[in-house]
Amino acid sequence: MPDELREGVPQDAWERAQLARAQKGDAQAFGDVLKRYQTRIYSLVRRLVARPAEAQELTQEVFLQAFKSQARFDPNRPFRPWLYRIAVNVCQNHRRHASRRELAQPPLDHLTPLWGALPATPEQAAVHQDDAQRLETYLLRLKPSDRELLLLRFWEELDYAELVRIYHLPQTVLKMRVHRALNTLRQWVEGGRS
Amino acid sequence: MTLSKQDERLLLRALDGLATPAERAMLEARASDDPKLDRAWQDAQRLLQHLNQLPTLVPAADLVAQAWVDYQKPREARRIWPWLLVPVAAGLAILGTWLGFDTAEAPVVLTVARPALPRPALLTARGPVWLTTAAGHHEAMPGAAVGSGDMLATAAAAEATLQLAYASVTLTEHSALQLDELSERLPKVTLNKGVVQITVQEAQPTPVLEVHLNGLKEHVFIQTGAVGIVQPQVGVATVACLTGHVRVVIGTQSLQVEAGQEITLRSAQTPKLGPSAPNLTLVVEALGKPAHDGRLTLRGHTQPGVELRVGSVLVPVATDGSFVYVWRPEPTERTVLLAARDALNRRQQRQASWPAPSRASPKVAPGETEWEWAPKVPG
Repeated sequence: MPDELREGVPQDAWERAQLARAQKGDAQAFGDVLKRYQTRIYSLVRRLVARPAEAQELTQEVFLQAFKSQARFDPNRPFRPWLYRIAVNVCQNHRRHASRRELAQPPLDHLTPLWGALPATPEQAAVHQDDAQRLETYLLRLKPSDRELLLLRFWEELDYAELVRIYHLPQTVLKMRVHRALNTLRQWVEGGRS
Repeated sequence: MTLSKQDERLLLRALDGLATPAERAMLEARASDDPKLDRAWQDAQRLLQHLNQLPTLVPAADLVAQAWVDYQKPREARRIWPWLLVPVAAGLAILGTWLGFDTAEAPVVLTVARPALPRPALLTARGPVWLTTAAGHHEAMPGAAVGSGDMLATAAAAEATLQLAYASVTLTEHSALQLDELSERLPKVTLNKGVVQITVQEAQPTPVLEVHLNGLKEHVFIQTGAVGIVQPQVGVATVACLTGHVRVVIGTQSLQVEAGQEITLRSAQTPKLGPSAPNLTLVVEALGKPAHDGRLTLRGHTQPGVELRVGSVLVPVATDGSFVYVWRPEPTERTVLLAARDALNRRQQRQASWPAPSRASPKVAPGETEWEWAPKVPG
Protein backbone atom coordinates (compact mmCIF):
# COMPACT_ATOMS: atom_id res chain seq x y z
CA MET A 1 0.00 0.00 0.00
CA PRO A 2 1.47 3.39 -0.90
CA ASP A 3 2.60 5.53 2.05
CA GLU A 4 0.01 8.18 1.41
CA LEU A 5 -2.78 5.64 1.91
CA ARG A 6 -1.72 4.88 5.45
CA GLU A 7 -4.22 6.03 7.96
CA GLY A 8 -3.40 8.83 10.28
CA VAL A 9 -0.84 10.36 7.89
CA PRO A 10 -1.96 13.94 7.42
CA GLN A 11 -1.30 14.54 3.76
CA ASP A 12 -3.81 17.15 2.77
CA ALA A 13 -2.21 17.65 -0.64
CA TRP A 14 -2.73 13.95 -1.36
CA GLU A 15 -6.33 14.17 -0.17
CA ARG A 16 -7.01 17.22 -2.32
CA ALA A 17 -5.49 15.49 -5.35
CA GLN A 18 -7.60 12.38 -4.76
CA LEU A 19 -10.77 14.42 -4.32
CA ALA A 20 -10.02 16.32 -7.52
CA ARG A 21 -9.71 12.97 -9.32
CA ALA A 22 -12.95 11.84 -7.70
CA GLN A 23 -14.71 14.94 -9.05
CA LYS A 24 -13.71 13.80 -12.53
CA GLY A 25 -15.42 10.46 -11.96
CA ASP A 26 -12.64 8.34 -10.50
CA ALA A 27 -14.56 6.34 -7.91
CA GLN A 28 -11.40 4.64 -6.70
CA ALA A 29 -9.86 7.95 -5.69
CA PHE A 30 -12.92 8.72 -3.58
CA GLY A 31 -12.82 5.23 -2.06
CA ASP A 32 -9.14 5.72 -1.19
CA VAL A 33 -9.96 8.89 0.71
CA LEU A 34 -12.81 7.18 2.57
CA LYS A 35 -10.56 4.26 3.43
CA ARG A 36 -8.17 6.69 5.09
CA TYR A 37 -10.93 7.61 7.54
CA GLN A 38 -12.29 4.09 8.02
CA THR A 39 -10.85 3.25 11.45
CA ARG A 40 -11.38 6.77 12.80
CA ILE A 41 -15.05 6.80 11.85
CA TYR A 42 -15.51 3.24 13.08
CA SER A 43 -13.81 4.04 16.41
CA LEU A 44 -16.09 7.04 16.89
CA VAL A 45 -19.25 5.13 16.00
CA ARG A 46 -18.16 2.16 18.12
CA ARG A 47 -18.05 4.42 21.19
CA LEU A 48 -21.54 5.69 20.46
CA VAL A 49 -23.40 2.41 20.04
CA ALA A 50 -23.60 -0.73 22.12
CA ARG A 51 -22.53 -3.57 19.86
CA PRO A 52 -19.62 -4.04 17.42
CA ALA A 53 -21.93 -5.41 14.72
CA GLU A 54 -24.14 -2.36 15.05
CA ALA A 55 -21.10 -0.09 14.80
CA GLN A 56 -19.99 -1.87 11.62
CA GLU A 57 -23.44 -1.48 10.07
CA LEU A 58 -23.59 2.20 10.91
CA THR A 59 -20.06 2.86 9.67
CA GLN A 60 -20.90 1.12 6.42
CA GLU A 61 -24.00 3.29 6.20
CA VAL A 62 -21.81 6.39 6.66
CA PHE A 63 -19.68 5.38 3.69
CA LEU A 64 -22.72 4.44 1.62
CA GLN A 65 -24.19 7.91 2.25
CA ALA A 66 -20.81 9.40 1.35
CA PHE A 67 -20.78 7.57 -2.00
CA LYS A 68 -24.35 8.71 -2.66
CA SER A 69 -23.62 12.33 -1.74
CA GLN A 70 -20.25 12.48 -3.48
CA ALA A 71 -21.62 14.64 -6.30
CA ARG A 72 -22.82 17.23 -3.80
CA PHE A 73 -19.41 17.59 -2.12
CA ASP A 74 -17.81 20.96 -2.81
CA PRO A 75 -14.06 20.36 -3.34
CA ASN A 76 -13.31 23.92 -2.23
CA ARG A 77 -14.50 23.04 1.27
CA PRO A 78 -12.72 20.76 3.75
CA PHE A 79 -13.56 17.09 3.42
CA ARG A 80 -13.24 15.99 7.05
CA PRO A 81 -16.18 18.00 8.46
CA TRP A 82 -18.27 16.92 5.47
CA LEU A 83 -17.66 13.25 6.23
CA TYR A 84 -18.12 13.68 9.98
CA ARG A 85 -21.36 15.53 9.34
CA ILE A 86 -22.62 12.39 7.59
CA ALA A 87 -21.39 10.23 10.48
CA VAL A 88 -23.12 12.44 13.04
CA ASN A 89 -26.36 12.38 11.04
CA VAL A 90 -26.28 8.59 10.72
CA CYS A 91 -25.67 8.21 14.47
CA GLN A 92 -28.40 10.71 15.36
CA ASN A 93 -30.90 8.90 13.14
CA HIS A 94 -29.89 5.64 14.74
CA ARG A 95 -30.40 7.08 18.22
CA ARG A 96 -33.86 8.28 17.25
CA HIS A 97 -34.85 4.79 16.21
CA ALA A 98 -33.05 2.78 18.89
CA SER A 99 -34.78 2.09 22.15
CA ARG A 100 -33.91 4.39 25.04
CA ARG A 101 -33.22 1.50 27.36
CA GLU A 102 -30.62 0.00 25.09
CA LEU A 103 -28.76 3.30 24.78
CA ALA A 104 -28.86 4.02 28.47
CA GLN A 105 -27.40 0.67 29.43
CA PRO A 106 -24.90 -0.55 26.91
CA PRO A 107 -23.78 -4.08 27.64
CA LEU A 108 -20.50 -4.51 29.45
CA ASP A 109 -18.83 -6.09 26.44
CA HIS A 110 -18.86 -2.61 24.95
CA LEU A 111 -16.17 -1.65 27.42
CA THR A 112 -13.75 -4.49 27.05
CA PRO A 113 -12.00 -3.69 23.78
CA LEU A 114 -11.81 0.03 24.36
CA TRP A 115 -8.83 0.26 26.68
CA GLY A 116 -6.42 -2.16 25.19
CA ALA A 117 -3.72 0.01 23.66
CA LEU A 118 -2.98 2.68 26.22
CA PRO A 119 0.69 3.53 26.62
CA ALA A 120 2.05 2.95 30.10
CA THR A 121 5.30 2.02 31.78
CA PRO A 122 5.17 -1.22 33.73
CA GLU A 123 5.29 0.69 37.02
CA GLN A 124 2.46 3.03 36.13
CA ALA A 125 0.44 0.57 34.08
CA ALA A 126 -2.00 -0.26 36.85
CA VAL A 127 -2.74 3.37 37.70
CA HIS A 128 -2.90 4.43 34.07
CA GLN A 129 -5.20 1.63 33.06
CA ASP A 130 -7.37 2.29 36.06
CA ASP A 131 -7.76 5.95 35.04
CA ALA A 132 -8.42 5.04 31.41
CA GLN A 133 -11.01 2.46 32.36
CA ARG A 134 -12.70 4.92 34.64
CA LEU A 135 -12.75 7.47 31.84
CA GLU A 136 -14.36 5.02 29.41
CA THR A 137 -16.96 4.16 32.05
CA TYR A 138 -17.75 7.79 32.71
CA LEU A 139 -17.86 8.50 28.96
CA LEU A 140 -20.59 5.89 28.68
CA ARG A 141 -22.59 7.63 31.39
CA LEU A 142 -22.65 10.83 29.35
CA LYS A 143 -25.56 11.49 27.01
CA PRO A 144 -24.62 10.08 23.58
CA SER A 145 -24.84 13.54 22.02
CA ASP A 146 -22.40 14.95 24.62
CA ARG A 147 -20.13 11.94 24.25
CA GLU A 148 -20.10 12.42 20.50
CA LEU A 149 -19.21 16.10 20.86
CA LEU A 150 -16.39 15.45 23.35
CA LEU A 151 -14.91 12.72 21.17
CA LEU A 152 -15.01 14.94 18.11
CA ARG A 153 -13.41 17.84 19.98
CA PHE A 154 -10.76 16.09 22.07
CA TRP A 155 -10.18 12.70 20.45
CA GLU A 156 -10.59 13.68 16.82
CA GLU A 157 -9.23 17.14 17.66
CA LEU A 158 -11.65 18.95 15.39
CA ASP A 159 -11.59 22.72 15.93
CA TYR A 160 -14.69 24.76 16.51
CA ALA A 161 -14.86 25.97 12.91
CA GLU A 162 -15.12 22.31 11.84
CA LEU A 163 -17.68 21.57 14.55
CA VAL A 164 -19.79 24.49 13.31
CA ARG A 165 -19.79 22.91 9.82
CA ILE A 166 -20.86 19.58 11.30
CA TYR A 167 -23.57 20.70 13.69
CA HIS A 168 -24.71 23.92 11.98
CA LEU A 169 -24.78 25.57 15.42
CA PRO A 170 -23.08 28.79 16.59
CA GLN A 171 -19.61 28.44 18.10
CA THR A 172 -20.79 29.84 21.44
CA VAL A 173 -23.43 27.15 21.75
CA LEU A 174 -20.95 24.43 20.88
CA LYS A 175 -18.36 25.74 23.34
CA MET A 176 -20.97 25.85 26.07
CA ARG A 177 -22.02 22.26 25.36
CA VAL A 178 -18.41 21.03 25.22
CA HIS A 179 -17.50 22.77 28.47
CA ARG A 180 -20.62 21.53 30.22
CA ALA A 181 -19.90 17.92 29.18
CA LEU A 182 -16.22 18.25 30.04
CA ASN A 183 -17.06 19.65 33.44
CA THR A 184 -19.49 16.83 34.14
CA LEU A 185 -16.84 14.31 33.21
CA ARG A 186 -14.24 16.13 35.31
CA GLN A 187 -16.50 16.14 38.35
CA TRP A 188 -17.30 12.43 37.97
CA VAL A 189 -13.60 11.59 37.77
CA GLU A 190 -12.89 13.74 40.82
CA GLY A 191 -15.79 12.21 42.71
CA GLY A 192 -14.68 8.71 41.78
CA ARG A 193 -11.16 9.38 43.04
CA SER A 194 -12.08 11.00 46.36
CA MET B 1 -14.25 19.44 45.93
CA THR B 2 -16.12 22.46 44.56
CA LEU B 3 -14.36 25.21 42.64
CA SER B 4 -15.51 28.78 42.39
CA LYS B 5 -17.34 29.66 39.19
CA GLN B 6 -14.42 31.83 38.07
CA ASP B 7 -11.83 29.08 38.67
CA GLU B 8 -14.02 26.52 36.91
CA ARG B 9 -14.43 28.77 33.87
CA LEU B 10 -10.69 29.44 33.72
CA LEU B 11 -9.91 25.75 34.04
CA LEU B 12 -12.29 24.71 31.27
CA ARG B 13 -11.05 27.42 28.91
CA ALA B 14 -7.47 26.37 29.56
CA LEU B 15 -8.31 22.71 28.99
CA ASP B 16 -10.07 23.55 25.73
CA GLY B 17 -7.08 25.56 24.52
CA LEU B 18 -9.12 28.76 24.48
CA ALA B 19 -7.46 30.56 27.39
CA THR B 20 -5.34 33.61 26.55
CA PRO B 21 -1.74 33.64 27.88
CA ALA B 22 -2.88 36.05 30.59
CA GLU B 23 -5.74 33.74 31.64
CA ARG B 24 -3.45 30.76 31.71
CA ALA B 25 -0.87 32.59 33.80
CA MET B 26 -3.65 33.61 36.18
CA LEU B 27 -4.84 30.02 36.49
CA GLU B 28 -1.35 28.73 37.23
CA ALA B 29 -0.74 31.49 39.76
CA ARG B 30 -4.00 30.72 41.54
CA ALA B 31 -3.30 26.99 41.43
CA SER B 32 0.09 27.48 43.07
CA ASP B 33 -1.67 29.22 45.98
CA ASP B 34 -4.67 26.90 46.19
CA PRO B 35 -3.94 23.16 46.55
CA LYS B 36 -7.57 22.33 45.78
CA LEU B 37 -7.44 24.14 42.46
CA ASP B 38 -3.99 22.72 41.75
CA ARG B 39 -5.28 19.16 42.25
CA ALA B 40 -8.32 19.83 40.05
CA TRP B 41 -6.11 21.31 37.31
CA GLN B 42 -3.73 18.32 37.39
CA ASP B 43 -6.64 15.86 37.30
CA ALA B 44 -8.33 17.68 34.44
CA GLN B 45 -5.13 17.68 32.39
CA ARG B 46 -4.74 13.96 32.94
CA LEU B 47 -8.37 13.41 31.97
CA LEU B 48 -7.84 15.27 28.73
CA GLN B 49 -4.70 13.27 28.01
CA HIS B 50 -6.60 10.00 28.44
CA LEU B 51 -9.42 11.28 26.28
CA ASN B 52 -6.95 12.21 23.59
CA GLN B 53 -5.22 8.84 23.77
CA LEU B 54 -8.27 6.60 23.57
CA PRO B 55 -7.24 3.68 21.34
CA THR B 56 -8.28 3.47 17.73
CA LEU B 57 -10.52 0.48 17.01
CA VAL B 58 -10.26 -1.51 13.81
CA PRO B 59 -13.37 -2.91 12.11
CA ALA B 60 -13.42 -6.62 11.27
CA ALA B 61 -14.08 -5.97 7.57
CA ASP B 62 -13.39 -3.45 4.84
CA LEU B 63 -16.49 -1.32 5.32
CA VAL B 64 -15.69 1.08 2.49
CA ALA B 65 -15.61 -1.83 0.04
CA GLN B 66 -18.90 -3.19 1.40
CA ALA B 67 -20.49 0.24 1.14
CA TRP B 68 -19.31 0.45 -2.46
CA VAL B 69 -20.97 -2.86 -3.26
CA ASP B 70 -24.21 -1.63 -1.64
CA TYR B 71 -23.94 1.60 -3.60
CA GLN B 72 -23.65 -0.29 -6.87
CA LYS B 73 -26.83 -2.35 -6.28
CA PRO B 74 -29.47 0.37 -6.80
CA ARG B 75 -27.48 1.72 -9.75
CA GLU B 76 -27.80 -1.65 -11.45
CA ALA B 77 -31.51 -1.70 -10.64
CA ARG B 78 -31.86 1.77 -12.18
CA ARG B 79 -30.20 0.53 -15.34
CA ILE B 80 -32.63 -2.37 -15.61
CA TRP B 81 -35.96 -0.63 -14.95
CA PRO B 82 -36.35 1.13 -18.35
CA TRP B 83 -36.44 -2.30 -19.95
CA LEU B 84 -39.44 -3.18 -17.82
CA LEU B 85 -41.38 -0.60 -19.83
CA VAL B 86 -41.09 -2.75 -22.96
CA PRO B 87 -43.45 -5.54 -21.82
CA VAL B 88 -45.78 -2.88 -20.35
CA ALA B 89 -45.93 -1.10 -23.70
CA ALA B 90 -46.45 -4.39 -25.51
CA GLY B 91 -49.25 -5.26 -23.08
CA LEU B 92 -50.91 -1.88 -23.68
CA ALA B 93 -50.68 -2.37 -27.43
CA ILE B 94 -52.28 -5.83 -27.22
CA LEU B 95 -54.96 -4.52 -24.89
CA GLY B 96 -55.63 -1.61 -27.28
CA THR B 97 -56.01 -3.99 -30.23
CA TRP B 98 -58.29 -6.26 -28.22
CA LEU B 99 -60.50 -3.32 -27.23
CA GLY B 100 -60.79 -2.27 -30.86
CA PHE B 101 -58.46 0.70 -30.99
CA ASP B 102 -56.61 1.03 -34.23
CA THR B 103 -53.07 1.38 -33.03
CA ALA B 104 -51.85 2.03 -36.58
CA GLU B 105 -53.87 5.24 -36.77
CA ALA B 106 -53.11 6.39 -33.23
CA PRO B 107 -49.61 5.06 -32.62
CA VAL B 108 -48.19 5.04 -29.14
CA VAL B 109 -44.56 5.88 -29.55
CA LEU B 110 -42.43 4.73 -26.71
CA THR B 111 -38.74 5.32 -26.90
CA VAL B 112 -36.61 3.35 -24.51
CA ALA B 113 -32.98 4.28 -24.46
CA ARG B 114 -30.60 1.37 -24.36
CA PRO B 115 -29.10 1.42 -20.89
CA ALA B 116 -25.56 2.71 -20.80
CA LEU B 117 -23.06 -0.09 -20.57
CA PRO B 118 -21.01 -0.07 -17.38
CA ARG B 119 -17.42 1.03 -17.78
CA PRO B 120 -14.90 -1.72 -17.13
CA ALA B 121 -14.17 -1.44 -13.42
CA LEU B 122 -13.36 -3.48 -10.36
CA LEU B 123 -16.72 -4.25 -8.74
CA THR B 124 -15.54 -5.93 -5.55
CA ALA B 125 -12.18 -6.64 -3.95
CA ARG B 126 -11.75 -8.87 -0.93
CA GLY B 127 -8.23 -9.11 0.44
CA PRO B 128 -5.20 -7.71 -1.37
CA VAL B 129 -5.93 -7.15 -5.07
CA TRP B 130 -3.23 -5.52 -7.17
CA LEU B 131 -3.73 -3.49 -10.30
CA THR B 132 -0.81 -2.89 -12.61
CA THR B 133 -1.26 -0.03 -15.05
CA ALA B 134 1.12 2.02 -17.17
CA ALA B 135 1.33 4.42 -14.22
CA GLY B 136 2.45 1.79 -11.74
CA HIS B 137 1.46 -0.98 -9.39
CA HIS B 138 -0.98 -0.34 -6.55
CA GLU B 139 -3.63 -1.98 -4.42
CA ALA B 140 -6.97 -1.74 -6.18
CA MET B 141 -10.13 -0.51 -4.51
CA PRO B 142 -13.68 -1.36 -5.56
CA GLY B 143 -14.73 1.10 -8.22
CA ALA B 144 -11.26 1.32 -9.74
CA ALA B 145 -11.51 1.93 -13.46
CA VAL B 146 -9.44 -0.46 -15.58
CA GLY B 147 -8.26 -0.15 -19.14
CA SER B 148 -6.66 -2.11 -21.96
CA GLY B 149 -3.19 -3.34 -21.05
CA ASP B 150 -3.80 -3.36 -17.28
CA MET B 151 -3.29 -6.47 -15.20
CA LEU B 152 -5.23 -7.62 -12.13
CA ALA B 153 -3.73 -10.02 -9.62
CA THR B 154 -5.08 -11.48 -6.40
CA ALA B 155 -3.02 -12.46 -3.37
CA ALA B 156 -3.66 -15.34 -0.97
CA ALA B 157 -7.25 -15.54 0.31
CA ALA B 158 -8.24 -12.64 -1.96
CA GLU B 159 -11.01 -12.43 -4.51
CA ALA B 160 -11.89 -9.76 -7.03
CA THR B 161 -14.74 -9.25 -9.46
CA LEU B 162 -14.23 -7.29 -12.64
CA GLN B 163 -17.26 -5.79 -14.33
CA LEU B 164 -17.15 -5.75 -18.12
CA ALA B 165 -19.79 -4.63 -20.60
CA TYR B 166 -21.88 -7.80 -20.56
CA ALA B 167 -20.06 -10.10 -18.17
CA SER B 168 -18.36 -10.16 -14.82
CA VAL B 169 -15.11 -12.01 -14.21
CA THR B 170 -14.32 -13.26 -10.70
CA LEU B 171 -10.69 -14.03 -9.93
CA THR B 172 -10.04 -16.37 -7.04
CA GLU B 173 -6.88 -16.22 -4.97
CA HIS B 174 -3.46 -16.34 -6.66
CA SER B 175 -4.90 -15.46 -10.06
CA ALA B 176 -3.56 -13.03 -12.63
CA LEU B 177 -5.61 -11.67 -15.50
CA GLN B 178 -4.18 -9.57 -18.31
CA LEU B 179 -6.76 -7.20 -19.81
CA ASP B 180 -5.59 -7.25 -23.42
CA GLU B 181 -8.30 -5.22 -25.07
CA LEU B 182 -11.38 -3.92 -23.31
CA SER B 183 -13.62 -3.07 -26.23
CA GLU B 184 -17.38 -3.00 -25.65
CA ARG B 185 -18.06 -5.43 -28.47
CA LEU B 186 -15.70 -8.25 -27.55
CA PRO B 187 -13.21 -7.71 -24.71
CA LYS B 188 -10.11 -9.92 -24.81
CA VAL B 189 -8.37 -11.07 -21.66
CA THR B 190 -5.56 -13.54 -20.94
CA LEU B 191 -5.60 -15.71 -17.85
CA ASN B 192 -1.95 -15.98 -16.85
CA LYS B 193 -2.54 -18.13 -13.79
CA GLY B 194 -5.20 -19.17 -11.36
CA VAL B 195 -8.94 -19.62 -11.65
CA VAL B 196 -11.61 -17.33 -13.00
CA GLN B 197 -15.34 -17.66 -13.10
CA ILE B 198 -17.15 -15.73 -15.79
CA THR B 199 -20.81 -14.82 -15.51
CA VAL B 200 -22.78 -13.35 -18.39
CA GLN B 201 -25.61 -11.09 -17.19
CA GLU B 202 -28.01 -12.01 -19.97
CA ALA B 203 -27.81 -14.21 -23.04
CA GLN B 204 -26.33 -12.36 -25.97
CA PRO B 205 -26.60 -13.21 -29.67
CA THR B 206 -22.84 -12.92 -30.10
CA PRO B 207 -19.90 -13.79 -27.87
CA VAL B 208 -19.22 -11.22 -25.16
CA LEU B 209 -15.76 -12.21 -24.02
CA GLU B 210 -12.68 -13.84 -25.49
CA VAL B 211 -10.44 -15.52 -22.96
CA HIS B 212 -6.93 -16.59 -23.89
CA LEU B 213 -5.16 -19.07 -21.70
CA ASN B 214 -1.51 -18.46 -21.08
CA GLY B 215 0.65 -21.24 -22.43
CA LEU B 216 -2.13 -22.53 -24.66
CA LYS B 217 -2.89 -21.53 -28.22
CA GLU B 218 -6.59 -22.05 -27.66
CA HIS B 219 -8.91 -19.34 -26.67
CA VAL B 220 -12.40 -19.50 -25.33
CA PHE B 221 -15.41 -17.49 -26.44
CA ILE B 222 -17.94 -16.83 -23.75
CA GLN B 223 -21.47 -16.25 -24.91
CA THR B 224 -23.93 -17.14 -22.17
CA GLY B 225 -24.11 -18.41 -18.66
CA ALA B 226 -21.44 -18.94 -16.07
CA VAL B 227 -18.11 -20.54 -16.86
CA GLY B 228 -15.30 -21.63 -14.61
CA ILE B 229 -11.80 -21.87 -15.98
CA VAL B 230 -9.18 -23.67 -13.98
CA GLN B 231 -5.58 -23.42 -14.97
CA PRO B 232 -3.61 -25.41 -12.45
CA GLN B 233 -0.39 -25.23 -14.46
CA VAL B 234 0.85 -23.73 -17.67
CA GLY B 235 0.05 -26.01 -20.57
CA VAL B 236 -3.04 -27.61 -19.07
CA ALA B 237 -6.36 -25.94 -18.41
CA THR B 238 -9.84 -27.05 -17.59
CA VAL B 239 -12.89 -25.23 -18.87
CA ALA B 240 -16.14 -26.06 -17.16
CA CYS B 241 -19.48 -24.69 -18.19
CA LEU B 242 -21.92 -24.18 -15.34
CA THR B 243 -24.82 -22.68 -17.31
CA GLY B 244 -25.34 -21.63 -20.92
CA HIS B 245 -22.58 -22.65 -23.28
CA VAL B 246 -18.97 -21.89 -24.14
CA ARG B 247 -17.27 -22.09 -27.50
CA VAL B 248 -13.64 -23.19 -27.47
CA VAL B 249 -11.61 -22.43 -30.58
CA ILE B 250 -8.52 -24.46 -31.41
CA GLY B 251 -7.03 -23.37 -34.69
CA THR B 252 -9.80 -23.90 -37.19
CA GLN B 253 -11.66 -26.33 -34.97
CA SER B 254 -14.47 -25.11 -32.78
CA LEU B 255 -16.11 -27.02 -29.97
CA GLN B 256 -19.12 -26.12 -27.93
CA VAL B 257 -19.17 -26.98 -24.23
CA GLU B 258 -22.65 -27.20 -22.80
CA ALA B 259 -23.82 -26.66 -19.23
CA GLY B 260 -22.58 -29.36 -16.89
CA GLN B 261 -19.73 -30.35 -19.21
CA GLU B 262 -16.05 -29.69 -18.82
CA ILE B 263 -13.04 -30.27 -21.01
CA THR B 264 -9.33 -30.37 -20.44
CA LEU B 265 -7.05 -28.53 -22.83
CA ARG B 266 -3.44 -29.65 -23.07
CA SER B 267 -0.11 -28.55 -24.45
CA ALA B 268 0.82 -25.30 -26.09
CA GLN B 269 2.78 -26.95 -28.89
CA THR B 270 0.24 -29.47 -30.07
CA PRO B 271 -3.15 -28.12 -29.17
CA LYS B 272 -5.66 -30.88 -28.79
CA LEU B 273 -8.61 -31.69 -26.68
CA GLY B 274 -7.76 -33.88 -23.77
CA PRO B 275 -10.01 -36.29 -21.92
CA SER B 276 -12.49 -35.09 -19.43
CA ALA B 277 -10.97 -33.17 -16.57
CA PRO B 278 -9.25 -35.33 -13.98
CA ASN B 279 -10.74 -35.83 -10.58
CA LEU B 280 -9.78 -33.52 -7.82
CA THR B 281 -6.56 -34.65 -6.19
CA LEU B 282 -6.67 -35.32 -2.47
CA VAL B 283 -3.87 -37.34 -0.94
CA VAL B 284 -3.19 -38.11 2.71
CA GLU B 285 0.59 -38.41 2.96
CA ALA B 286 1.20 -38.95 6.63
CA LEU B 287 -0.85 -39.57 9.71
CA GLY B 288 1.13 -40.87 12.65
CA LYS B 289 0.10 -42.11 16.04
CA PRO B 290 -1.26 -39.65 18.58
CA ALA B 291 1.57 -37.89 20.44
CA HIS B 292 1.94 -38.19 24.22
CA ASP B 293 -0.38 -35.21 24.66
CA GLY B 294 -2.98 -36.79 22.38
CA ARG B 295 -2.30 -34.52 19.40
CA LEU B 296 -2.31 -35.88 15.88
CA THR B 297 -0.63 -34.42 12.79
CA LEU B 298 -2.14 -34.94 9.36
CA ARG B 299 -0.20 -34.03 6.20
CA GLY B 300 -1.25 -34.23 2.61
CA HIS B 301 -1.71 -32.41 -0.64
CA THR B 302 -4.50 -31.39 -2.96
CA GLN B 303 -4.80 -28.65 -5.56
CA PRO B 304 -4.24 -24.97 -4.86
CA GLY B 305 -7.36 -22.95 -4.21
CA VAL B 306 -9.30 -25.94 -2.93
CA GLU B 307 -11.61 -25.61 0.06
CA LEU B 308 -10.58 -28.40 2.41
CA ARG B 309 -12.35 -29.55 5.52
CA VAL B 310 -11.02 -32.07 7.99
CA GLY B 311 -14.06 -33.14 9.97
CA SER B 312 -15.91 -29.87 10.27
CA VAL B 313 -12.78 -27.69 10.40
CA LEU B 314 -11.76 -25.59 7.40
CA VAL B 315 -8.05 -26.21 6.85
CA PRO B 316 -5.90 -23.76 4.85
CA VAL B 317 -4.22 -25.14 1.73
CA ALA B 318 -0.82 -23.74 0.76
CA THR B 319 -0.11 -22.33 -2.69
CA ASP B 320 1.55 -25.61 -3.72
CA GLY B 321 -1.50 -27.56 -2.58
CA SER B 322 0.02 -28.97 0.59
CA PHE B 323 -1.69 -28.88 3.95
CA VAL B 324 -0.94 -29.74 7.55
CA TYR B 325 -3.55 -30.14 10.26
CA VAL B 326 -2.81 -30.71 13.92
CA TRP B 327 -5.61 -31.49 16.32
CA ARG B 328 -6.45 -33.48 19.42
CA PRO B 329 -9.09 -36.12 18.59
CA GLU B 330 -11.45 -37.59 21.15
CA PRO B 331 -9.97 -40.71 22.83
CA THR B 332 -12.56 -42.94 21.17
CA GLU B 333 -12.10 -41.47 17.67
CA ARG B 334 -10.10 -43.52 15.17
CA THR B 335 -11.01 -41.95 11.81
CA VAL B 336 -11.54 -38.54 10.31
CA LEU B 337 -13.13 -37.50 7.01
CA LEU B 338 -11.37 -35.12 4.62
CA ALA B 339 -13.58 -33.31 2.11
CA ALA B 340 -12.23 -31.10 -0.68
CA ARG B 341 -14.15 -28.89 -3.09
CA ASP B 342 -12.78 -26.66 -5.81
CA ALA B 343 -14.10 -23.59 -7.60
CA LEU B 344 -15.92 -25.77 -10.11
CA ASN B 345 -17.69 -27.55 -7.31
CA ARG B 346 -15.78 -30.78 -7.98
CA ARG B 347 -15.60 -32.78 -4.80
CA GLN B 348 -13.33 -35.42 -3.38
CA GLN B 349 -13.36 -37.26 -0.07
CA ARG B 350 -10.83 -39.36 1.80
CA GLN B 351 -10.95 -41.10 5.13
CA ALA B 352 -7.87 -41.20 7.32
CA SER B 353 -7.52 -43.50 10.31
CA TRP B 354 -4.99 -43.99 13.05
CA PRO B 355 -4.22 -46.74 15.57
CA ALA B 356 -5.23 -46.61 19.19
CA PRO B 357 -2.54 -45.11 21.43
CA SER B 358 -0.41 -47.71 23.16
CA ARG B 359 -1.26 -48.01 26.85
CA ALA B 360 1.59 -46.47 28.83
CA SER B 361 2.72 -48.34 31.90
CA PRO B 362 1.67 -46.54 35.07
CA LYS B 363 4.36 -44.59 36.79
CA VAL B 364 5.17 -45.80 40.26
CA ALA B 365 6.21 -43.34 42.86
CA PRO B 366 9.25 -44.25 45.00
CA GLY B 367 8.23 -46.28 47.99
CA GLU B 368 5.09 -47.62 46.39
CA THR B 369 4.57 -51.17 45.26
CA GLU B 370 3.66 -51.96 41.71
CA TRP B 371 0.97 -54.64 41.52
CA GLU B 372 0.46 -56.75 38.50
CA TRP B 373 -2.98 -58.11 37.95
CA ALA B 374 -3.18 -61.66 36.63
CA PRO B 375 -6.33 -63.47 35.64
CA LYS B 376 -7.36 -66.34 37.79
CA VAL B 377 -6.83 -69.63 36.02
CA PRO B 378 -9.59 -72.14 36.76
CA GLY B 379 -8.54 -75.42 38.25
